[in-house]
Amino acid sequence: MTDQKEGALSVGAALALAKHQLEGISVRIVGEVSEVSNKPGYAAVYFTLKDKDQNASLPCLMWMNRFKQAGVDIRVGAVVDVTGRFSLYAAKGRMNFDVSTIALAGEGDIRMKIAQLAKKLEAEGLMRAEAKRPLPRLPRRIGLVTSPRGAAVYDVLRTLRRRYPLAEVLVAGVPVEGKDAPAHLAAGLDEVAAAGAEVVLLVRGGGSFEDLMPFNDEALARHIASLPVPVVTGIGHEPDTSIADMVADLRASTPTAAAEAVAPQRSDIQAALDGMARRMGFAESALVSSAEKRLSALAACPFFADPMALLRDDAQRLDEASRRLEGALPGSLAKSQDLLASTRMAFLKASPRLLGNRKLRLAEARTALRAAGPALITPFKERAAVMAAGLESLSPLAVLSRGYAAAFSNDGAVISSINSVARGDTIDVQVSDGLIECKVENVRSDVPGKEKVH
Amino acid sequence: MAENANPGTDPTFKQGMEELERIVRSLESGDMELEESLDLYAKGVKLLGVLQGKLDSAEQQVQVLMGQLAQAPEDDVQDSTLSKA
Repeated sequence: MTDQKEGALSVGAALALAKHQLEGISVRIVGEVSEVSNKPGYAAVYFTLKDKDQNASLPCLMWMNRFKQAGVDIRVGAVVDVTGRFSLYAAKGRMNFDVSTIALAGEGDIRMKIAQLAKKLEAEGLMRAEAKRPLPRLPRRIGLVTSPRGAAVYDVLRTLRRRYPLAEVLVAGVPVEGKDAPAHLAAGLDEVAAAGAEVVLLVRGGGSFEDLMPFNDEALARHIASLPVPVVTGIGHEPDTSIADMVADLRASTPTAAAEAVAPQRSDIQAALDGMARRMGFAESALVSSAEKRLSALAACPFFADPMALLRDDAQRLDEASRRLEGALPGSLAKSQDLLASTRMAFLKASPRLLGNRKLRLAEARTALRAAGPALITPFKERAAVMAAGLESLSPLAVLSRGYAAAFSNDGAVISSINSVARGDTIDVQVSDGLIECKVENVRSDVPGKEKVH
Repeated sequence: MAENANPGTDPTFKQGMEELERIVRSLESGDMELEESLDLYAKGVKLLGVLQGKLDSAEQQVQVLMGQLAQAPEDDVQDSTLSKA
């Protein structure tokens, strides 16, 4: 016992020995993650790495600060490339692999390639919002490109049937997994578009990252972008977005959601029909009632309500005139006729007497005038003879014949003062037998023969 | 998957809806002779009936261009996408 005891180590010492040996070994390992324990509050992330054939597994830990630095999202099934060293947890006697670096292996490269492809296609403008085509509102034909097996195709058909049975569905059932899947999918897109689909659903049920790889194919992406009709994707249930999703005109999260996106709800169509029926009825009844209002407004006009009113004034004037005509005309005519008759009678009676008197007086007057005429004229004749003799002596001609002359200015006025003429004036001097045209030489105020002239 | 003739695929459903919208807008504009509007209204009501008939009797028509569809599950089977989502 003692020997045994002397040669023996305590558990702790043994483990310390092992620990010393183990921790000198630093290695790089590629394996698949099988269990993950990443809980808040833990100092480290714990997971198990195993080989594909599952014949070996290794518990791993990675201190939280390192894990966060690595920025790798480890999930069950992920293949990772780790470096680190073995360590021993003495309390449990358990060996761990202490991971210092971690990277996704294989798939990681693929993801990077996909990201690069996405960048490239984006740069080419395949993902621009302006490149996205609008979906037809009431598609007559809807294309469906997916696997003919599995739930996705029926999810879509059921959704379309429930929501929008008006559309015909053109199905291209093609393989969606495997190397040739992208080419089949592209052919399916062409087929349904050529058959008249106005919008195409490109869908696939859920699957692993690898399962969804065909939807990250560059040729398929270009095919989607160049298809003449809009494409709606509903690929898997992954939060990961495939390249197909990015270049599609609309990305839905699931096949059912994609079907919902292209198919208007039957109840929405019904509501649209009901709404239009309501609007149409309302509009027409408004038109009718407005016409009615106009009509009744017209009907309320006085001349429609009482057409005779239009004629009332004229009728009144007519009545008035007729009354006056009836009353006044026959009476006045008769009166006038009577008056005329009586006037004529009076005239006839009076006229001979009147004329007789006048004729008599006219004859008397004529006789008297004839008698008076000579008696009246004689004294005038005598007086006229006397006056003619007087006039003879008064005539200037008589004076001129005695040697006197009269001077006239050019305007014919008698010149009786020296003030009437100026030197140089021409004057006419009238003598008994003619006219002497003279020019004034001089004017003097003294009149030597004044007394004589008088 | 109805094999019978489907009025829903009649190319006039969408056009009918658009025509009906035009009619409704014309009537709503109100600048129309009464006789004309009554004619249009009658036309709209008839079109509405046709469209309603189409909607009521529509049965989805499925045409398989490529591949072979497996037996359709019953409609009451739960939607797989919803169950997984």
